[in-house]
Amino acid sequence: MKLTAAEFAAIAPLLALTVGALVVLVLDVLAGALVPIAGAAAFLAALALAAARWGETGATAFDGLFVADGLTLAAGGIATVAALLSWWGTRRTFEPAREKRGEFLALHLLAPVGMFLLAGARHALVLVLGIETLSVAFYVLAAFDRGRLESVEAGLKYFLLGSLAAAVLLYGGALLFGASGSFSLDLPPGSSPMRTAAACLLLAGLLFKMSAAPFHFWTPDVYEGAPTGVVGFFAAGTKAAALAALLRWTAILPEPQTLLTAAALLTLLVGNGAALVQDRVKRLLAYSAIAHGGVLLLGAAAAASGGAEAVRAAVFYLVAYAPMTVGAFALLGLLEAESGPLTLQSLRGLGRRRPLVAAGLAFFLVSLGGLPPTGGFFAKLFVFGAAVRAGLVLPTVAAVLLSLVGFAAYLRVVGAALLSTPPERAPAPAARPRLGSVLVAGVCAAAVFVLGILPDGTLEALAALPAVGR
Amino acid sequence: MEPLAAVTELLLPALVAIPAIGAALLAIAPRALGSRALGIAAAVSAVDLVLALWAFVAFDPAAGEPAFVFERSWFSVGGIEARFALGVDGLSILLLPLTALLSVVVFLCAPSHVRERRRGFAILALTMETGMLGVFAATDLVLFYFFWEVSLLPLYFIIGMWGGPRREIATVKFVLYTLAGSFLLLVALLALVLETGTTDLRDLATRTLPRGLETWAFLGFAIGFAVKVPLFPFHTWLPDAHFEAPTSGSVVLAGVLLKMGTYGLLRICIPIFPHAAVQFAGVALALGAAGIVYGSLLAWAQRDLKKLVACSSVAHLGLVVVGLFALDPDAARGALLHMVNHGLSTGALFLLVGVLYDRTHRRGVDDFGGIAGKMPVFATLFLLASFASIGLPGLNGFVGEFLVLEGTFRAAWPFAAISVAGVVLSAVYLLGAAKRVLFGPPRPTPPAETAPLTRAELASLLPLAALFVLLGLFPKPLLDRIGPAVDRALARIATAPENP
Repeated sequence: MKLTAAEFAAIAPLLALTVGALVVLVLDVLAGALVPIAGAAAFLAALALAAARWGETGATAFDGLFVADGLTLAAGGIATVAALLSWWGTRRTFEPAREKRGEFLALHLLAPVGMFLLAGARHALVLVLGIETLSVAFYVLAAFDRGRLESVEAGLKYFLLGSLAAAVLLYGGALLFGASGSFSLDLPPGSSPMRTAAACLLLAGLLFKMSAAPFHFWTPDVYEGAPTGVVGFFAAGTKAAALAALLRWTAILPEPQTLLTAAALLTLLVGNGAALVQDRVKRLLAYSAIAHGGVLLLGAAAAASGGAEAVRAAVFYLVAYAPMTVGAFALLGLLEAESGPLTLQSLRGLGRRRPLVAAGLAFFLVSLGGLPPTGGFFAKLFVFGAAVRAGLVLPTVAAVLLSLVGFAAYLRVVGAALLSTPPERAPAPAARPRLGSVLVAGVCAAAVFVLGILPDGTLEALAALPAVGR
Repeated sequence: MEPLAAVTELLLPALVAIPAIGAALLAIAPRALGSRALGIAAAVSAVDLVLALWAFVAFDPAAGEPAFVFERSWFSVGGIEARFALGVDGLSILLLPLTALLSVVVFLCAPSHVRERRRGFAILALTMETGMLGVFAATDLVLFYFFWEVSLLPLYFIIGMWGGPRREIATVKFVLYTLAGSFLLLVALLALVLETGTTDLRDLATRTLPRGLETWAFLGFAIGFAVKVPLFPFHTWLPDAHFEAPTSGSVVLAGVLLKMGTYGLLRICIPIFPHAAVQFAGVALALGAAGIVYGSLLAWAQRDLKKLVACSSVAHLGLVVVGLFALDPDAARGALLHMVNHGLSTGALFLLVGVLYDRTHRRGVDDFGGIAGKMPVFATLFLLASFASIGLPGLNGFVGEFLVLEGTFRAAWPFAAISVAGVVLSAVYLLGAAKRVLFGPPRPTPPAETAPLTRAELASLLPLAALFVLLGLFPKPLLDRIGPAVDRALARIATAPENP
């Protein structure tokens, strides 16, 4: 097969990441000191290549199997940034053994390749390919802290359930082919029960990746067991890619708006409700990640009636969600490295021990809860606005009320960290500087703040997004 | 652009931004400056007070409203075209100086009870000041909501970090109640903005909405505001929050934050939803009157001075709501005036209770006696503030209360009759408390517990006391400035065309 220059340009960001991963693996053996530089260069090259294509009409590659339009570039770009921040932020807080650092970085480079593929897939098999690429990277990352039983358990659980989801997705693709004679998104018109079944199976596979209810059961265990610093990437990256795929593939769903609204409300209920009763902070934030998937699904439901503006709102949500969740998990990783597993109890008095860390954590949680001046506020405002505009008024009311439940959950963390009286004997802060995670948290906080005051720049940049749905 | 025009255009952005900039600078200030954070914050707020007073003096309704307009496009997405638009008219011209003044007072009185983490306190209180000023200055609905939410969480932290022993429950109750209200407001806002295609408050007040939307959106906004006011029966969060709050938190909560609710009713609910306002006026009047009587009875029953003042706020704000929903020009003027007067007198009462608490760590009505003999200045100020709160003629409280009652009597006399009962009750509970605390049998106490007022305490109390007298004797400059805007807001009731 021959690639034209345009096709080459369409997949250039993916190539940069893949080549970067391979170079890192080789360098790891030859010249370990160069590994971080090569990795950072690959991330930045991929982002630059994606940015260079921004605003152009979507170029396709491989006979139209993959499209690099605004949606692909936005979702893949968000995933790449999240990967970069997550990798940088875990330096020093979660440090793999010396000889594993190259692998750790290579996995961070490979996962966004899968996310790009997933976001740009116009063919059921590319969808599967994307999901598998990102999942394999995540299975290993989740289990990377091999000395800890929870981490291994997280990897294994993710692997078993993820394989099942991939199988479901693949079966959906097979049924799609059986029903229409094509794996492609461009189906010939018509409908049949088999086609409906195929669409539902594909939807289930994507909802699993978004950790949407009722396919969310793996999320709390995996997020809790995995190395803390990378969990923010798990949440932000997969949501971005899976949402892009979902938006693109809503066209083949029967009754997409009803289905997605129902999934959104169920997800919001499960995520926010369960977050409220958690005592372990990572688990609480895992349920929060589920709940945020619910808001995104509401945005997807709004977009299903063909609104480009709803797509823009949902992608803005992804842009805002990435820094707040990556930043929050970076700070949690920092704290965990200092004082062990985090519970609401062990957070008590944090405001006195580490005022800046506590303030930063509170800021990210306020953003997750959706209050200004944070990006989370506008993200929720825009998605809810899109939903009301699409006529989903009552679901929006329900979503807003469930957000209140979620906010109560965040308040428990904020209250424990800042309001409660400290325990008698506070654990001594560790002496080692954690510049990486502090830097990442600072960058994330700045991004969240800017998005929360001046959202217009981002909105204008997202004006190039295509409409999806019917 | 003319230099003068540039100054008048930038006045409001500067007013709103200065506290936030102060907060940001304090956050990165070196540790040595951090220990003097409260003084710096007081200076920052004083600058704001000067600007707000300048706006008040320069404001002339005859020269066109809103004045000091600042408008830039903010963002536009999915049918929401929000503008960063500030302006001041008769409805907000009194509330800006009130906010700035009480912020200065807060920072002056804070050193007595904010003993640690002063920098954090200053940052939070300045952020809140920006939020409150923004709410009153915004002429764009989305911007209004933005500032509305910004002003919420700082108080959560202030009560939660410097508050009393049961603060964790009180703060959660406070935040969840008010957030539930403002989330309702959010949905109503989205429905309204997406239907009309504008976010401009003036423009919205000229639109005629479909009947169903008008009713539901009105209810969303009105309940959201009613929780903040707080209107009976949504008031239960308020006494708890006040009880656990530090003195400075109580001053700003009662003085300004609650006014955001009544301001919202006057700014949004009445002019934008005139038919629904008429339809639900009876309900609002009944709840307001119930609040007056119930709040007064609650206050009467309290044995704790701080809870007493907190419950009296429920009654006073009930009177404001009655004044607004009498839909009478005089009553609405009185209501707006009473918002300011209540901010001043209740602020002073919380400060005075705080003075006692700082010295004795008690605040029960029965814990004190014969204070008048030992602290004559304190006793004078306490009586003055009580009289102002009761509405004694010659002091500021009288003017607002009289206008509310007079206008309500014309529009809906039964509610005026009930409201008068509240005014009488306020004399019963406040003077009863004053009698015990100031003139009851003296208690043997260590001299430190009855030390004379410090300079900081006097500095925070005397401006308020001076305003009691000044505004009581010369309310005309205030009434002149608010009159036309109030009339215009109410004129929508008569002139709005039927719903399509």
